[in-house]
Amino acid sequence: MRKRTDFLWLFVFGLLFSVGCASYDYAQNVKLISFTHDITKGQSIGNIRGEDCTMIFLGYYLGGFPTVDRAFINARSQANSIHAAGFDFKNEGRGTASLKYVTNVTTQQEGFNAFVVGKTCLVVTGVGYQ
Amino acid sequence: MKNFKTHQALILFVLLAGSSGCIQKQKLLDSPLVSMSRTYIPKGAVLKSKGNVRGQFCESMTGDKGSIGLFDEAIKRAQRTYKVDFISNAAFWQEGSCVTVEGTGQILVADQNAYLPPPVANPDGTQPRYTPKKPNR
Repeated sequence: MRKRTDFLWLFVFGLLFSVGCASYDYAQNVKLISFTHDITKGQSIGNIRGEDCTMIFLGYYLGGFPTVDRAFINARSQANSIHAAGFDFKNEGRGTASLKYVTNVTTQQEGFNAFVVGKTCLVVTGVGYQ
Repeated sequence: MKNFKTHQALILFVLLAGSSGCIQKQKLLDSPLVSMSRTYIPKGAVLKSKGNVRGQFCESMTGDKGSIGLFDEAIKRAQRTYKVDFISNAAFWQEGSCVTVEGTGQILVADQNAYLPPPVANPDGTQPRYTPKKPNR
């Protein structure tokens, strides 16, 4: 009986350790994500970045979670703004709506949590071509 | 005893019903063209449709290690399975801990004099299906 309990504990610990082995993002290094069907070789405009952010107040997400498509819209327009659900604080940018595609696309979570208030962002980066 | 079994069955049913209701299919992103092997269409080359493709990747509690991109893996799986260079009209969906890409598979077809550079990466690690041809000068 003792052996069986030991085995069970070992299994639980093994499972706990193995859980922390991988971290997941939406995109790690996607070679190509385009905005148009015309992706003949374009001219690089360098690194681009777009984010979608949401404020957190007392654990509540004000306006839903950040989404990938909004982060991409901001990356394309280079608005780089807080855009989630009505919180459109800043929406000015380089206006690169003619951006055709993005290579080496990466997404990551950013933000802070100060218990009462917090902010969480989904950030898209890559190399833009037009 | 019979009462206990009925209770167990009831709890199981409630758990099953609860868990099935939690998994929602949610659209993440639409893109006209995506690829894990090429970054653009070379001059003189055109795309040829190979029909509908689908790739899915699910987070694993035990099998994965390191930093993993869900889109990356889903696209790689679709490209590897259907042997295509691009996925057009790609739609990314999230269902529980799985990400799915659906779209139309496209392969690169060269014009007679077009030079097709080799892919930047092959999802399955194999050589390109065609021999790159230098343009006539």
